[in-house]
Amino acid sequence: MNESKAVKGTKGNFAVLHFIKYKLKANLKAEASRNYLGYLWWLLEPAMLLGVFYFVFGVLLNYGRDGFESYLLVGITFWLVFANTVTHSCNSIQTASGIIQQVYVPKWVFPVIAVLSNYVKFLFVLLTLFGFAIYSGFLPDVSWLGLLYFIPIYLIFVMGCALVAAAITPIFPDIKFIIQAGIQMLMFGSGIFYQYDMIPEKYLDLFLLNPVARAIYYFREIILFQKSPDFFDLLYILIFGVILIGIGLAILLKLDRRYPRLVI
Amino acid sequence: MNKNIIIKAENVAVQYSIFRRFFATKSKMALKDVSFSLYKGESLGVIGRNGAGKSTLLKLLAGVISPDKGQIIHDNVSVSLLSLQVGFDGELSGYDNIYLSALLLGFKKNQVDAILDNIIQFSELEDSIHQAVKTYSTGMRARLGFSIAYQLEPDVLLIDETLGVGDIEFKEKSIAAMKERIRSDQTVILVSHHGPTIKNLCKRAVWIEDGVTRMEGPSGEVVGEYEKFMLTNNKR
Repeated sequence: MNESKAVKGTKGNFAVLHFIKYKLKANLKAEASRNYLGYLWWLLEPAMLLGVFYFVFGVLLNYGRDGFESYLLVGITFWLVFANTVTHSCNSIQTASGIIQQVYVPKWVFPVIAVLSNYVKFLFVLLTLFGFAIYSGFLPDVSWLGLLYFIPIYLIFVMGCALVAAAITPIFPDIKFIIQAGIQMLMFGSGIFYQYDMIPEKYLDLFLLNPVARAIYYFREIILFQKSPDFFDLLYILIFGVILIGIGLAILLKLDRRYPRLVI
Repeated sequence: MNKNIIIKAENVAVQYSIFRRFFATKSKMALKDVSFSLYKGESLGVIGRNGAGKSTLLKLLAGVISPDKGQIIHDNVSVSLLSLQVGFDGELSGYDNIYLSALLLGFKKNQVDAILDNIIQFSELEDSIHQAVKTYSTGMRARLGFSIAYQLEPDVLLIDETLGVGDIEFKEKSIAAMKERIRSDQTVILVSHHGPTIKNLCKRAVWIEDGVTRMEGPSGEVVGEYEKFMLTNNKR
């Protein structure tokens, strides 16, 4: 006899991976079907956004030195994937309320789906960014290969933040305002709109303790200045990511069968 | 424990906290002390008025939530709530929704492939199955939802109130199908506030009042006591 406080809904063999795959496809398909241009918007939207920044800072203001608009675009691209992913995953469990009241689904599934659908769209933003970069004369270089492992490491970090946000929002619904404010603060603290030599040198190390700032700093180094990040920088961001994923998952698993009571 | 018992609830309690404002949470005991046994192959009725804790009990049995006190003992059986239209997305076709909903109900992908034709046939949706569900009428949605959930064959099936759904014609069809299922070897827990339904479809019943089991026994007797109680209660 299996004496457990919790009852297993199905024999504990919910087809998690199939569900994630289907739901991910379904969400993307549903999102695209809401507009006439559908999937094209995934390319158009970032292109328009990056185009606006390019125009305002590069053409109108002719701000600072040459290449500032590219510097800005790299920052914004990697900033946006962080901000969008965390914002979307925040409410992922509440949004699934209708489902989790009726059937048992491991709750980590919902933020993971939210994160992955943002990552799929991010691929299109990246393509747009590379388009702009090449157009502005930053040609692909061997150092760009570093992106092949630096981007996944950054995405692991972003997923960690998203899981923690998703895990705690149902417990304290008010925290989403704090998360939003935090994201805004982080935007100004990550050097998206200003150049690093505007930061007093003694504070630069402190500034780079922020993993988002550090990641964006090195993305610029790779794409614009053909430098490779060193092992320590990668490890620093990876460790943050792994710890955050661990914390997020721990909360999500611990409260797995409590969330349905929290999000009515 | 008796060999024929497949689920046993022992003094289970579930507490919900209702958030009022800062630091002023109020808690409500949805279930205080519920115990009963479910035997293999039987149809057990759970009767109680609105707010007695019936829905919470179903969530508990389906494994959606866990109890705060007491325990639910079972021998690794699959328990599913007959959930209609779970996970439906209006932007997607009926066809896509079958996969989404069925995966949520616990089917494997290859199992869905196997029952896909049955579902479409039972729903009588024919060519509309490839249209977006947002274009469906309420009746069509209900048909599709029922046809998917009806394919479920868990060890224990939980049914909340409604047996039939949709327009008149489909309602009759779905009620007949459900009744047949309840009278078969399928182990069922049927929840209702309606005495005659329980008396007709279940041999045994449990009466829950204000989160506490009042009575467990032959459905005729239990429903009789429940109706007597409701009558005196309404007069007051």
